Amino acid sequence: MVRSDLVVVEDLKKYFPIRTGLFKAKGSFVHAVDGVSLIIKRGETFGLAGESGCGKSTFARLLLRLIEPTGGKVLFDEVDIFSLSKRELKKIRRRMGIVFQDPKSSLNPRMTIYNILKRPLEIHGLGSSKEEKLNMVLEILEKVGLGEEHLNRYPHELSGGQQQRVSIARAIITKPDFVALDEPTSALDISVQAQILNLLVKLQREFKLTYLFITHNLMVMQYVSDRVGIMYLGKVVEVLNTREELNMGRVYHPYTAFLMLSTPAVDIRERGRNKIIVPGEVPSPINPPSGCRFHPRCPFAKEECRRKEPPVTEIRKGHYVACHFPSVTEEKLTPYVEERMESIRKLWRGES
Amino acid sequence: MTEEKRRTVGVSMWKLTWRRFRKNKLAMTGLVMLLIIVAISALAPLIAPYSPIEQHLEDRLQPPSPKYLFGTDELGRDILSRVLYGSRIALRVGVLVALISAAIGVTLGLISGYYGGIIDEVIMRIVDIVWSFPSLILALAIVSILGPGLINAMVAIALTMWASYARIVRGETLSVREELYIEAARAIGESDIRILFSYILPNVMSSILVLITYNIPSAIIIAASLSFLGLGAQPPTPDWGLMLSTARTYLTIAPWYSIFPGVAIMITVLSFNFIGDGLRDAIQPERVS
Amino acid sequence: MRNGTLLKIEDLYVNFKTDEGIAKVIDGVSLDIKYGEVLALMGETGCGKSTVAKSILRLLPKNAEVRGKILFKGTNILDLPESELRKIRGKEIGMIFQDPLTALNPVFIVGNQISEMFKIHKLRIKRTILDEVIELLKNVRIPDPQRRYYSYPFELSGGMRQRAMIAMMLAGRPSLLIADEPTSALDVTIQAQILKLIMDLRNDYNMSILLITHDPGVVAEMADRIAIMYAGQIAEIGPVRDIFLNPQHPYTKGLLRALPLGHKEERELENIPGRVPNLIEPPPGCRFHPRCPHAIEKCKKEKPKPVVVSNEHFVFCHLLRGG
Repeated sequence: MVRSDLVVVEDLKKYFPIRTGLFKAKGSFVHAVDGVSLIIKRGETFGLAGESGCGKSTFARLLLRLIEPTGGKVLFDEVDIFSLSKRELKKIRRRMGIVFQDPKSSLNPRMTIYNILKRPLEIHGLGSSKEEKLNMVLEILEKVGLGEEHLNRYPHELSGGQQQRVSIARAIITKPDFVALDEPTSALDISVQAQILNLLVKLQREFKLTYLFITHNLMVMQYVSDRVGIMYLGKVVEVLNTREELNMGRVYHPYTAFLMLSTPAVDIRERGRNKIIVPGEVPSPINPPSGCRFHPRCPFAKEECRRKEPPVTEIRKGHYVACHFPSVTEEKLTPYVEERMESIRKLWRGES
Repeated sequence: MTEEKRRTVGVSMWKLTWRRFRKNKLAMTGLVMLLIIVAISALAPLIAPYSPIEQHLEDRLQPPSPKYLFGTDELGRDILSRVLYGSRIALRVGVLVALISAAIGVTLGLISGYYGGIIDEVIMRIVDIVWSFPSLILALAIVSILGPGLINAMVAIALTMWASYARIVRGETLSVREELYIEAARAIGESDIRILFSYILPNVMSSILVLITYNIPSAIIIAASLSFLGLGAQPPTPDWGLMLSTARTYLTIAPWYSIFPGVAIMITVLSFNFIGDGLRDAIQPERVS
Repeated sequence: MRNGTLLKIEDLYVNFKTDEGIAKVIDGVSLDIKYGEVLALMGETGCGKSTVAKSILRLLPKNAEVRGKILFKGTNILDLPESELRKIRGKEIGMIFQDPLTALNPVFIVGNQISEMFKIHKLRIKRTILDEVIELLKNVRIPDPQRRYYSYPFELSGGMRQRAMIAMMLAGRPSLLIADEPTSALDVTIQAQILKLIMDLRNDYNMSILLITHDPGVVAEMADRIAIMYAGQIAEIGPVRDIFLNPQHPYTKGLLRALPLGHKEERELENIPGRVPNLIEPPPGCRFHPRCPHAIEKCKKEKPKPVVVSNEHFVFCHLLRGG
């Protein structure tokens, strides 16, 4: 029997030391990822959303062990990836890929597209002959919507969208199970973003891929993910189902609600309504606030929020919230979010 | 940026660099000069009127004349022939020294920049020490340990010059290391060695090339200086520095003797410097965009 | 608030001389901004929206060749001598950018950079310059302005820097503020704060705003009218409500349907096939025709003239003529 959990993350932590000059300053750390536990299920798109500096990119790099953790575990298909030797790690990398935000910087400017795509095959000993490798490269190029004519081009000769297609091809050419997508469409124009999103959805269905989709863009998140985790200052504050909960506005953490209400609505009829703006700015991850990390910005914060870190509670089946008082959000904010999501649904369905 | 992008479609980076280089008049002048010098050194036996070591004791210290276009030296050797043959030595010294020092410096710079930490500290402190001496003084010190001779002089010069490669390559490596394609390479399972030489090295190559074109003339000058001081090439080698050294004694009675090798050194050095400037300017805009 | 037109751009053409040839970046753009209005100029990378903004302040690089008229309060900016132009820049017309860190001088404290504006433009002040600057910092809702006066730009967060930049621009009490992607580098919660601030200031200072953006959400929040640009031409212009609810140009329609609204299980996003054309040899006629699913012969030959859809709503498309 195939287990449904592909990636299991347990209390994952990454603190970056702050270097000042030659010697390490003692005790000063950026708490980029600070105790994250979650599960990514086989075949799903798990979306991770949050603002800059919340640790979501660091999280992706930890999952692929591109950086070493400060603490915690990542089980990839039941294998603890941090316990692997260099050799075993290299082997397991065939089964995981990553795509980054900046398509231009993701491709070696001195390599042709063919060479870029051929390397994963060579490293993992896929394709026995030169011919076979070429065929595999051509096949994957076609899958991502490029063709033979791009084989001998250099990255700078391609548009941003085409570069991103090459990055995606490189990530999936070894037929992996899991692909981490770190803001894959954030540097692209809207029309190109649509093409790439459609492509990613198509590839996922065809190759049965599991995605970790990281973005700060909630609209993209609502479209592409199956389940979502919302991150704030190194912690996951809410995990919920996308279609039945997030897109219906059924959110219970005040930060999630504020995030959704701050996102400019494309619905012109919404203008001026429900303008609730969260005050203040994200505090520094060097000395994160005590208790609940959101309390300095939370208008509903009570004494308990300052003192005690909120436990993660399962508020409904599969819906987790790390907040002392989710009922306050439910009463004060959720109705506005629901209303807003309702109007956006009407907008794209063409109802008025 | 978009305009730049559109213009560069279908053109490889080196072609683009060449295109910009070609528009630079001074750089092209330098290139033509260098090609002439290379041709001279290749064809020296054919175009030199005499052997460079053949003595005409009856014609000592003759001023320029139809028979000896650049005059003769204290042993009656034809200065023109010696200057022409001298280009072979100058080019060989320049190119070899630059390549040896680049090989040392680039490797250390790559390692230093990529791994960082204690390795980086150690390499960079050695670089600091090498840099804190003027090249000529350091080369003098090394040659006096190794003993005089052209080969030893070349080794000594290379040992003084690698530090600039190490420092530049380290700096570039530090910035290239942050590029996402390096992370992407690690994600597909590339080894460190492979990342260093197939991913980082090609991307710092342009700076190395510029540095080589600047270092060749410096190497020629230091080699000439060592020869001038009697620590480099030994008589009767037709070395420009050595010629200058001997010519110094006859400066008042045979000024042509020092002028021609001096001018030869100057022209060679200038040609490389012009090319270096042009190359730097041609490569720079691409990195800015 | 006064009625009438503050800025009028007539038949603007901008060419850039490049090594490969002349790039025709702006191809006959006409638009106007009324007193107190927010006009959004929206389009994708390379559509020329920033070029239009920069031509208003004549900030284009030397290889640019500009034709047409830019009438600001009736005077053609393109004809002004440099000395007159400097009086307009930063005083009559302010401009803020996507990344305020590059627009602020890193070696001076924020307070000095703002007070500099009073000196450059010899502005009349009621109190000391320090008081005026503190007042401005208060107006842009910078907390603890007395302390922030002495901050260097790098000591401020992205949102605070953008506020400081806005404060600097407010010193001259401009009648037009050009905001070039003012919130694109900011997080959504900070973006919401800055957008609200800009809208509040528009009322307090009676400014018109030219908003340059690629984000339809920001347009929907802010703009009164919107001009959609494609490859140096205006595709459609009109009141923001009309354009969002009743888009007419195939490009506008495609762009709005490409927005990731809904869920992947419910709908596929609309693809606009092809890519943005090369502006050195742009397609003749309507520049969108190679990517337009409905293009007819005429689109390849003639540049479309504006077709009135409704009051103030114009679309530049042959398909709509007479239909």
